[in-house]
Amino acid sequence: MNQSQTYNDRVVRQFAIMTVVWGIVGMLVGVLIAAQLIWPDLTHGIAWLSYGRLRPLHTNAVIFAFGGSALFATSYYVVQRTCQTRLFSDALAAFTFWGWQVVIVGAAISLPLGKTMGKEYAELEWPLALLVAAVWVVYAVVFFGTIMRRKIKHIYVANWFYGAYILTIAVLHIVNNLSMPAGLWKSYPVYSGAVDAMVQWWYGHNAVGFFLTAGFLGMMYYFVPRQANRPIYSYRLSIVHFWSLIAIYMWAGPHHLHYTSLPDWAQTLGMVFSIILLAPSWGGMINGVMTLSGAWYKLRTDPILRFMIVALSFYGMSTFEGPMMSIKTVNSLSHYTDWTIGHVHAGALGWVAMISIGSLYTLFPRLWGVDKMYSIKAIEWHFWTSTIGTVLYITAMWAAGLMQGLMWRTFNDDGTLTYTFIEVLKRTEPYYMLRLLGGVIFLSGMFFMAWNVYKTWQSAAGRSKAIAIPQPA
Amino acid sequence: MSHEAIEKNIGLMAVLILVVISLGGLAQIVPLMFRATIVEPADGVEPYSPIRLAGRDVYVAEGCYNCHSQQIRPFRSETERYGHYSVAGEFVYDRPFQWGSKRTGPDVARVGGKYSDDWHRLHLIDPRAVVPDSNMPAYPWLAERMVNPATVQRHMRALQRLGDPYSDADIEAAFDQLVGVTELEALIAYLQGMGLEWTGQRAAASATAGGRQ
Amino acid sequence: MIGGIITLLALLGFLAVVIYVFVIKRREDFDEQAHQPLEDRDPEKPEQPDNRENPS
Repeated sequence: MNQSQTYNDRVVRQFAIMTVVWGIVGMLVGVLIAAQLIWPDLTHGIAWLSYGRLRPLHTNAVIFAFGGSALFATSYYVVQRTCQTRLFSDALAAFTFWGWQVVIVGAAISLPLGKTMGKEYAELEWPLALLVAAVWVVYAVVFFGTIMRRKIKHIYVANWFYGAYILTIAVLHIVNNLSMPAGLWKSYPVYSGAVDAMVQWWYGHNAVGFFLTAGFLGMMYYFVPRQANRPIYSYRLSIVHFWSLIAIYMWAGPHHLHYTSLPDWAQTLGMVFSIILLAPSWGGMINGVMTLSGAWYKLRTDPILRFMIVALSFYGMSTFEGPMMSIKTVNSLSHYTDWTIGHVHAGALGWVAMISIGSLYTLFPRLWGVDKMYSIKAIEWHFWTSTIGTVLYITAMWAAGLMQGLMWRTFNDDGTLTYTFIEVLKRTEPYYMLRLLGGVIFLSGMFFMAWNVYKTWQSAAGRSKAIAIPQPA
Repeated sequence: MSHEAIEKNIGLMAVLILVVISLGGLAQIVPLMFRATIVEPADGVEPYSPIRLAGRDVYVAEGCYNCHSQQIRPFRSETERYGHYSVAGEFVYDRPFQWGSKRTGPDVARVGGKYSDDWHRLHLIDPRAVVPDSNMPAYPWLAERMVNPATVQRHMRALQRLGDPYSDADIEAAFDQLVGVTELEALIAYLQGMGLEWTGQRAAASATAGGRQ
Repeated sequence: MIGGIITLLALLGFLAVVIYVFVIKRREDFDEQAHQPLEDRDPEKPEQPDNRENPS
């Protein structure tokens, strides 16, 4: 069959497999640094395994390597299926795959060596940041080029979300990384102090809003209907919530800087928009969950669908928690504590990882031309380990964060502080144990997945063939 | 619908997305760049000396910002523990800013002068020798690594290009100040200067003290 | 002043989207689009999409 009459699933398969690999790597590093907070001498004297260097590696690995690969895989799959055309260019798509892997390996080497920009979630030094920009521009060309070649009149809403995520991340990444090289692996940002802080959290918050939210909502808008075999609950709602979400998200960044040296008007603006953000966020959650309305029974038999619905529930929960934490008085308690870490992981484990895992379980059999994953039982196990791991993790961090926030501000009757910093840290240790346990349980589920994917691939050996694009009748 | 019109559609959508996402950043970032209180140094705040700059680079490279904030909020519970709250003018030479987002360890914005150099040396090499319940990593390698004076000069030139007021003579003189300095010594020099420069905090403190009398 | 104008424009934009989606466009216009993900099916195994009582 002529190549142009089939889908390019090769690059989708590559990214899908690397999602599992990088998921395990990133979470493994997470487990290691969680253990280091309890046993600080675990890697004593080994500079490249010290906490301060590994924590950026953990965040970069789970966000950009695991999450990024999941987004590449699903966006390339979804854009081809909903446009009924092959990717714009196989060569450029292959470049994004290999380029992205080079970025990840580069991060895995340079971050433990202490080569860092020192801005959270934007640590990669300028040579790698440039490569990220190059890969991203090519990604945009492949994605939008494919949409322009589409054989279907309308652009399905999942592609809107993917499109907004690709464009916005390009803008955010470039603006936040503007810096002056001072050597091959050292640079200084063109912004300084409070301006740098504002730019960084405009970037940081919207990396959450567009990478970890809009991108994964694109995934949700295709794979939830696909797996439920029902159209999305309300297409109208999806359009309204799309425009509201992308417009409002961009204003919410200053809530990361409450009560800092950032001017008050910016903080207040950030708070107001963060609270408004609840509405479009829940619009998406309701739209996803209600897709199952009238067909709830499917949850009993289908663990993949359960992954997706639980992911949406965590999405709804963390997008309620986020606006609440952005209220200045609440933030004065929660900021700098482990509550923030809990909030991040409700989103990262509960939403991002679980919607990706569910979507990948839908995707893998189709990529290899088999009916379903090798073991449904293993998916069940994965579902429970993910859910229990996430719940343990976030409840431990909530409790720890509340306790820290309250103890830090406790005064004696004579007006002196009641607790020293170290006393509070000591009291946190049991919660760190619980968090480590939650992380280990979540990670263990990823091994069920790796095994299941391997067995599915094995059982499909030789059967995977290029899938024909439906021709217009 | 013609093919051309469809192409226009996705183009139009991309443009609309870009417009919608640009507003927030423009409204919040650009005004800051023109605010004197944000971009001009507070009284007494100078560019980092070569040894402190070298120490700051170590601070950034080791990822200290993952656990230590450099931003004291205007609450009594914070000013009691850490000192006068932070003001924007103290950070104008901070590239990148290191305000942090998490306190696994205490804030260090005004840690300068609170402990002796010896305490810092012991603490960085073996934190639990001085704070038994600490969970800070040990940094023994800092004592063995030398600061490269030529590298710091290169860094200063990059900052000069960005507009930080280093003179050529400052950069010239940096070399001799950095010969034989370890990363540990540089980091301690950085920490020992933290939060001391801004003269306004002392004026504020003495005004309050005067008011009470 | 500028803040007020931006807020007003944002509100008008939002209302325009809502009116377009819920008033001008009819439900049927969206049905085809909503079914797009369900069209990627193995031709050898026809399964009918299950689309009972969704508002659109």
